[in-house]
Amino acid sequence: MSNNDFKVVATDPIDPDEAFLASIRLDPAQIEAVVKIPVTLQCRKPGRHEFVRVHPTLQLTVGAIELKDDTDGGLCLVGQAMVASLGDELKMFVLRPYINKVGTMRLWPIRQPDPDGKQNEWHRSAATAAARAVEKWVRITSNRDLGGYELFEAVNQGAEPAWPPGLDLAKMMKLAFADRGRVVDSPEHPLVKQLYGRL
Amino acid sequence: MSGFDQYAEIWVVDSEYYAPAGERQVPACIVARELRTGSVVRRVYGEFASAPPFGVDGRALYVSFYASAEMGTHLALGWPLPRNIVDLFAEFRVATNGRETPAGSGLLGALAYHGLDSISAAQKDPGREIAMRGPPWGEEQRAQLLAYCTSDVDATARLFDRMAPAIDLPRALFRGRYMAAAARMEWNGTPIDTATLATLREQWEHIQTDLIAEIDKDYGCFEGTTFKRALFEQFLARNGIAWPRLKSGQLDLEDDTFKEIARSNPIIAPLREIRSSLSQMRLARLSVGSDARNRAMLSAFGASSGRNTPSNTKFIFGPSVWMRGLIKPEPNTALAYIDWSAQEFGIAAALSGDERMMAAYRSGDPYLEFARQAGAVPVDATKQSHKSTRDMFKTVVLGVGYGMEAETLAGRLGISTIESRALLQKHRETYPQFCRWSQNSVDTAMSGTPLNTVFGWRYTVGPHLRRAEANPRTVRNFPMQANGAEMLRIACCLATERGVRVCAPVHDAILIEAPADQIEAEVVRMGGYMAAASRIVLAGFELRTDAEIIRYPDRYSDARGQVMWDRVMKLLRARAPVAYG
Repeated sequence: MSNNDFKVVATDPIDPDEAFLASIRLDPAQIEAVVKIPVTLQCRKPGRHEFVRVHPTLQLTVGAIELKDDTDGGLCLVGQAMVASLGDELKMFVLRPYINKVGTMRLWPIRQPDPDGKQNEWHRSAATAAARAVEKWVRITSNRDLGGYELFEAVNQGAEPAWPPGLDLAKMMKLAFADRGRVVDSPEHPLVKQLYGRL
Repeated sequence: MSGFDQYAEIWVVDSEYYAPAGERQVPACIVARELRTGSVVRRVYGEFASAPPFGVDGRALYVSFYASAEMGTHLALGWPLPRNIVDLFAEFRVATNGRETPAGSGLLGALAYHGLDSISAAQKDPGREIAMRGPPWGEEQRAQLLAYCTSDVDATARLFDRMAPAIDLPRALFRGRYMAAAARMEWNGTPIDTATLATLREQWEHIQTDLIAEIDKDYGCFEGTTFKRALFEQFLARNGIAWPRLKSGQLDLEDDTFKEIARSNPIIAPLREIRSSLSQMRLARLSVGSDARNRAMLSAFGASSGRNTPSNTKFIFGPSVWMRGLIKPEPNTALAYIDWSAQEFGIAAALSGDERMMAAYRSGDPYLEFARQAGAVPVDATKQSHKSTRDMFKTVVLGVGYGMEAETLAGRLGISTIESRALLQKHRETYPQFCRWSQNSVDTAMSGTPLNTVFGWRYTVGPHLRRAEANPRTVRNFPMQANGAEMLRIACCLATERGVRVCAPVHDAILIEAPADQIEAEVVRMGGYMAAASRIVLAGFELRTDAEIIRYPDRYSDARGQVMWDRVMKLLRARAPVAYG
């Protein structure tokens, strides 16, 4: 091969033929071939390896019971009728929708300070991380020595999160709690029976 | 028939001809029937005039089945090529692409598919046989040729009548236009160094033994001239090379697998070349005419993607890349190989509307820019300073086009699956719009909706899908390959109609020829047509082209086959010192 390699410089439109061919070009716009039907939603803190962003506006404060041995974050919503009867078992959480880099959405349950204003460092550092995640891609890892979460911000922030259109917190609550039997709304709920030694 | 009434005449045409391997065709006869009046014109060997006996201007429509054959007849007779061509082969392929056609895609297959009678095989074969005997044809033979040709015209007319209502005329005319371009390219052919070819053919038996001995000393995979799977397995183990396996657990020894692995692992390349050369008898079958030009039917629209599918053994741009060293310009002329840079990446970026991907293409080095966008290299990285990372990201981009998964990517790059998953994740994060678009293409096709290019080439996954193609990975790459094929067709039309001497189209590249003192100007002209073709297909988004010029007495070479070519030439010099001493 000779050393006559060179780049070809683009030229102006060649003649009316280009316009003619362009005129018979079909619109390649795609019709969505599938519609994603959400069937489940998790309510738990982000995994230690995933970078996440928190939705800037959607959030909901709820009363819930936290089950420590549950792998799914262990929250059960408490219906209004049961608030009074559950006493200290009831904790307040802010649920914040978040999304990871592959587009999976979840709810992040962030424990709120007790009525007397006390809040441990785990909960406070989680709230700080969630607030930061509104603006930046971050990940969190727990550090027992520190007694709280460590926050890591991605150096390469990449693209902004693609929030699904028409996000609806009520639908998310239904998927995460109601559809999964995670709403405590009567004294006969197995969780209440367990708490009161009736199970 | 939508749009067909705009034509004053509709001529259905068929021709017979003699065309030994590599030679230009010698017309035997041509028959045409005008559909509205029913008038028939026949011309046979010895009676051809200087102009066609039917209209070829803008008022007439020319209908045939595999029109480049008829266009070859026009070129041989010095007749102008028709202005408006509808090729029923191309239209049949569009209508059935991806579906089973029980009797094939030839004229008989198309007739059978539509439930139409056709001339029987018993009638057809003698007619073709007479044509292929070559000139001169006697009086009785000419009558037989005309009868045979007329029956094909009648069959083609019946097929047109059946297919016309569903033909998308503007796009069909574009496909017909390409068949004329294909005929011009087949007519030109590619110049071949026939002296070297003749010596190679003469010495090939000895050379292949020498080649195996020389190449295999680094591999130890042959016994005699037989490639041994067990020995290859030992070679892979010795060198720590991961190799894909079949479901049975056996090593996958398909040529495509060798080709893929050789891309990222150059040590495999010579082994692939020798296996390919030995198995295909490529030298013997290469079609070279008495004018030292390689000519092979381009088989336009043969692939699912609409790409050409010329014979791998007859066409000089078949997979044995080392043999491309036989391409050599004639004295006082030069060749230029012009290709679109990162064509599939550019098409994916533009058609998906992924702005970051388009920005990466515009950067001039999409693979390095992808690495930069993903934060894997610093902003001031260059192809030289971060070659390995760039190559890695390039492999990811190319792999994603075919739906490559983490395990395969890990094997290809020699990295762990944790790393390969992270790379694929980077791609999804960097180009989310492309990923959604690409997945939607797969969903569209697999749910039974046709995938279309911007010029209407269509692929349908249906109930009668050809089994080998029922593969989401094939579907995933369809938009890039098929729209790339449209781009190539446009460029070939623009160039051949304006007098550029195109020797051959090669998927994302075009080989042209010109007098040595005009080659630079012709490269600029061709580059302009290729840029225009990209703008047309991609709605204004322009792809770059690169060109390599080969001047006499240099020869064409492909980096992938250079080592093999040098080896063969060294052995040839040893075997035939008189010619190559």
